[in-house]
Amino acid sequence: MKNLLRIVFLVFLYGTLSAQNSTPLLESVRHKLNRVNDYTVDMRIKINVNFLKMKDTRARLYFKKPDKIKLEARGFALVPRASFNFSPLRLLQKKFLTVYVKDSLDNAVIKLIPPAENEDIILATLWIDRRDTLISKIEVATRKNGLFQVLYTYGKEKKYGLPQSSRFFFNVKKTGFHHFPVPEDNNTSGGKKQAKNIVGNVTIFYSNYKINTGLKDAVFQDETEEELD
Amino acid sequence: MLSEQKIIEVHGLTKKFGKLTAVDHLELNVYRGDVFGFLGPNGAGKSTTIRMLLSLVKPTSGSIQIFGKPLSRERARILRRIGAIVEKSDFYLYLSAYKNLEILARISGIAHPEKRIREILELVRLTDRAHSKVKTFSHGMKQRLGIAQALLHDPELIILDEPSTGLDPRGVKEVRDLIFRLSKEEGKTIFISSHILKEIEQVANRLLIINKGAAQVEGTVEELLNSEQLSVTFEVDSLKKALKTLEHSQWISLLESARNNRLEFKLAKKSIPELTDKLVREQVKISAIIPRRSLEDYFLKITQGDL
Amino acid sequence: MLTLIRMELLKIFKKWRTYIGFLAIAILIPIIQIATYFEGSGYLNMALQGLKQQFFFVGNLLNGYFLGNMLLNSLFVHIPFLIVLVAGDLLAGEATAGTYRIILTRPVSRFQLINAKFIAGILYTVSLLLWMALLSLGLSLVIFGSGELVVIRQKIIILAANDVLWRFALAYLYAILSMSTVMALAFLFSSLVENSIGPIIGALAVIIIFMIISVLPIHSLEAVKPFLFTNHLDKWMEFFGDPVDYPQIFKSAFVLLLHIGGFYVITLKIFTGKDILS
Repeated sequence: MKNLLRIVFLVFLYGTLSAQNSTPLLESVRHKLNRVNDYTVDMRIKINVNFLKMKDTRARLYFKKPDKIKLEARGFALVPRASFNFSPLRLLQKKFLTVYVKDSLDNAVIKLIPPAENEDIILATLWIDRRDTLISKIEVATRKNGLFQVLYTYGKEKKYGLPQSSRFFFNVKKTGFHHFPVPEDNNTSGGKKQAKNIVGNVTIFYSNYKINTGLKDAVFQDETEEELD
Repeated sequence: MLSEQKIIEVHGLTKKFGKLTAVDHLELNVYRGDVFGFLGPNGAGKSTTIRMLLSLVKPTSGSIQIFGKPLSRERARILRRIGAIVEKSDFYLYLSAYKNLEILARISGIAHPEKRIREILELVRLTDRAHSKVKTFSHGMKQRLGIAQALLHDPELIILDEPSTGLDPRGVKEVRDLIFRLSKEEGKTIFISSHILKEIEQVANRLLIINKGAAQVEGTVEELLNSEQLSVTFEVDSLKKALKTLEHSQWISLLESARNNRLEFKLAKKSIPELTDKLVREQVKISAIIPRRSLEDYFLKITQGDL
Repeated sequence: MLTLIRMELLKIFKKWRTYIGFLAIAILIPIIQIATYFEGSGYLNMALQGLKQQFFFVGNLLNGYFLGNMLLNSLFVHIPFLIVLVAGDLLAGEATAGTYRIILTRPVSRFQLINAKFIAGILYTVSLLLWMALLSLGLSLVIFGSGELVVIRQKIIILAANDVLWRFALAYLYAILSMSTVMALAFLFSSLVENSIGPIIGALAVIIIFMIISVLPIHSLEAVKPFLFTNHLDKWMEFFGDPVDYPQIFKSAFVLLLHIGGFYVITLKIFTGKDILS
């Protein structure tokens, strides 16, 4: 009996300790990211989506804490909204409940649940590299737009938590794109077309970071600036 | 003096439109320098024949040689030497007279036709309307322009289908004078069809009468007209005296009418002097001898089958 | 032959009806451009609404190339009418006017005349389409500038700005081939009658009927459909695909060339054997 109680106590202690250790890890990541007040970066965007055909495009991103962004392109560029909506910094600005923690010496996996039911995000999962205190992967399940997955790689600017590349995988319902033609669909059933999801990935390569240069607010005064969700 | 060289030679020319035979084994010869009259009532086959001569219509059978060359094989070379008016003169109404002639001149191979166009327009008295659109032209002006386009490239053979149609008397005379000049002074060969028979009679030296697609007669005007009997009117001072003179003679049977001091006889041309002599010897005074022979009478007879 | 062609072109361009097409295009295109200038981004936003939900749009897709493509798409159905208006009159007009008699009594063969008229008809077609290109693409580029071209079909294709102009050049070249087929058809009908109304209406009727047959879901018609020239008229669109479906384009171009050749040969046969009775 005593041995059984001892085992239960140790398991409880381990779980409690683990829960406590995930929050400091997130704090470390948040602290790193918060060191960046502003930056500009050149992006090369490679789109690989089943309904969209487009060559690589280039854009320049301006960012200023907490959420000012501006995008510029010489011609035309498509930049996935997920790159901002589900960016590490934005996610970590929200309040979440951490429900489950999986830990090892090198990596931690943290699941985040939004406290309010009317949030678009149902569940977010972060894969964190403990050694560099960097987020290597994010997975977000949303109500409206299905599942997103983002993979990050880091280079020179990893001390600021700014990635060298990010790759977004998405699987969105067709109904999100009902205003333009759907991909060729040879499957018919009873005369109606089967619903198909729009799947694909977008890879952004970042280069030429200029960090904490003291960007003025005037840089972001642009009528065409898009608003983040 | 007319050359014996045949300019147009037609053998067995036939054209059928379905069951209708428009031209039926026509034989025709036109010599160099001729003013050849081509006569026939409406629907006789004149226009169809002319269209075949100009390769607008393909013969059902028969042959056409012009300038000694077969039309079916040497069309372009032959047409280079022909100028023609086919029925009504039609032009590009939205273009000026000058522009119409320029197009036709260039198609005919005249590289710089400006001077020639001016000459021709002066010849047909259209110089002052050279740059007016043809749609503003009267019928007579269009006919004159039609003559102009026929003469534009100085052809050797001129084919005129009803050239005086719609012209006023002055215009008719001008066409006649032009034909004379072209024939006598410039040695052109002219093939002219018309139903204004007086015109043909006055200009043609040879003629062919066609009816129901077939040739009726062909020959010189003189031959054709001398072969027939004339209506001759003698105006006398005393009808009674004249009738008494002739009552037992051969001439009485030739008398057609006698009234108002006029005796009308049907007799051959060569008989006129003899009759005149007879009357004069019998003291009948003759104030006038009027032969009423015309091609029109002959034409009507031919086409009605009286001859 | 050059002289003949020049004379035919002179006749074509001296007629007022020739300018109907040029005038219609000159009025219609600026109207659409002005409307698009003020309202066009709304149309594009609506068309790409779904995409905008997932992506930020950086830059402007409403540019001269987009307009040029849109105008080519919209006006393409109307251009055949403007072509047959002139082509239907090429031979029938001479019969109506009675001018065959002064032309064909010249030392020019019917073969030469037909060739000259046919070539003049094609040159008219080329000039009309070049005029359309000048206004729909050239003027649009001046007003709206250049940029990437978005083509919305089964996929959304966004072509880089430096990858567009050659496509338009080839698309218009193909459009010339398409409209030359329409011209050849009207030309053929023109040789059959002596009034240009018949060929105009006849050619349009054939185009409309063939287009209807093309979309009818009747199994027995499926074998016929690939041979209907109307199915191949709009293959210029393929030049805006990525990749460009060259086999399909060449196949369709070949079908159109066959039709042009066929119409031409039939016209020649009819005209060279015809009695000119007008």
